[in-house]
Amino acid sequence: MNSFDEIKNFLREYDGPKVRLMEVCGTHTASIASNGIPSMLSDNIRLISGPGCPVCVTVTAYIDKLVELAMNPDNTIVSFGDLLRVRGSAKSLSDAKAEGADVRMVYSPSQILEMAAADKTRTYIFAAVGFETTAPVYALLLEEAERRNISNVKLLTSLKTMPEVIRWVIGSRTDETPIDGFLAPGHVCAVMGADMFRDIAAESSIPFMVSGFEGPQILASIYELVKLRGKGVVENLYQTVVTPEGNLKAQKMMDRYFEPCDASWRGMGKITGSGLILRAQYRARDAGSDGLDVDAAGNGCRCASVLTGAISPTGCPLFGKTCTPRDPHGACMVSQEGSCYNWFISGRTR
Amino acid sequence: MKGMCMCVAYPGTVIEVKNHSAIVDFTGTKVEALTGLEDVKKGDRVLVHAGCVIRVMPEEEADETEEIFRELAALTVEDMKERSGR
Repeated sequence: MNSFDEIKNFLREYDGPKVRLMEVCGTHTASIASNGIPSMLSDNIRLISGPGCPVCVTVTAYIDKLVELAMNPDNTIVSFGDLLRVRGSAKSLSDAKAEGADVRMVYSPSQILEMAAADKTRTYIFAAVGFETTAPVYALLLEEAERRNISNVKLLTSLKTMPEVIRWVIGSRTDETPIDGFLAPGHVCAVMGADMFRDIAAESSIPFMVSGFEGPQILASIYELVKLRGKGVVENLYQTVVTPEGNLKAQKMMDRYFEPCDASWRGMGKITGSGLILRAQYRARDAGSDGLDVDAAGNGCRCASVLTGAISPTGCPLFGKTCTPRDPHGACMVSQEGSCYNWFISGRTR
Repeated sequence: MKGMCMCVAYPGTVIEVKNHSAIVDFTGTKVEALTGLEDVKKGDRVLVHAGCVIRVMPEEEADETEEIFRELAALTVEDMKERSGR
């Protein structure tokens, strides 16, 4: 029997104390679903999804602001994708596009620079959502815009950072909903370094495993988390990409353009120091990001409880009935990183 | 290629370096990526997120997963069970 078989056997046969592990990152959520990992685990090992899908944690006030900006005929809204279908309090960006707004999807920030350079009569506003992985990319976009003297590019930011929301999630645990370990977000750690979670691990006595995104890598990380239960340590199983200190150049770039701010998270409210906003000297590049705190998602959607691991997607009364990937009610069913979307498409039940 | 997700990043190989960007080959699909967050050279294995190189990976890219399995296998399953509190 090789070592991988031993790991699989252990995870399948495990009958020790129950463990409940949270994968923070939406890309892990998607990989766990597509690899069928829950079916490879003993009933005593449960995986729950955390607040690591940027589209899912965006509040309705931000979407409403994007729609408002999109309806101005002088503006073009540029976005990376999933965000287009997320509803605000009334409309989504897709709805605005259907009504004639200029909303475009891109895969790279360099595309918005080309658009803006080619048409100086319009303002090109990037819907800048994301975490520490993506914030340096927006900083680089602004640096390129400055260098090329392209003044008609702005950002509407809803940028979030990991440490304080993880502390919030840990503080929200109950006896019924414990968290015994975290699969740390691998590419946030690629930028910020594996050490970013050391203090939280130590103060909470919860282990963090920095993991890659392939099925075997995730299984190995789960195996380690079970082993390390109760120990406040950070281990790195993704060393080809993640170092203890991360990408210092990217961190410096992010720090040059952004400063910490309080940020509102869908279902969690405003969390102190959990976001980033443009520094005062770059506010002319901001399209109105401050104060977008209202979270008016209603209609029975329980995304908020799903995002904090309080319930599984199947615990939401709308799941698979009136809320499906084709006609999503909540952001977690829209995004390809959303836990509801991934549970639905993989037929996951636990 | 999917749109933006929190952690989605793809490994590719730099085949051409430009002033502030590079052409990265993802097994046949060639994409231009900004390089302001990492210094790259032709032949580098890089990780690209949202159109930017966010990491240059070590040249001797070991099969990390295999290595992890070997390390974990150093501990027996019985040992694991004991550590898990059984």
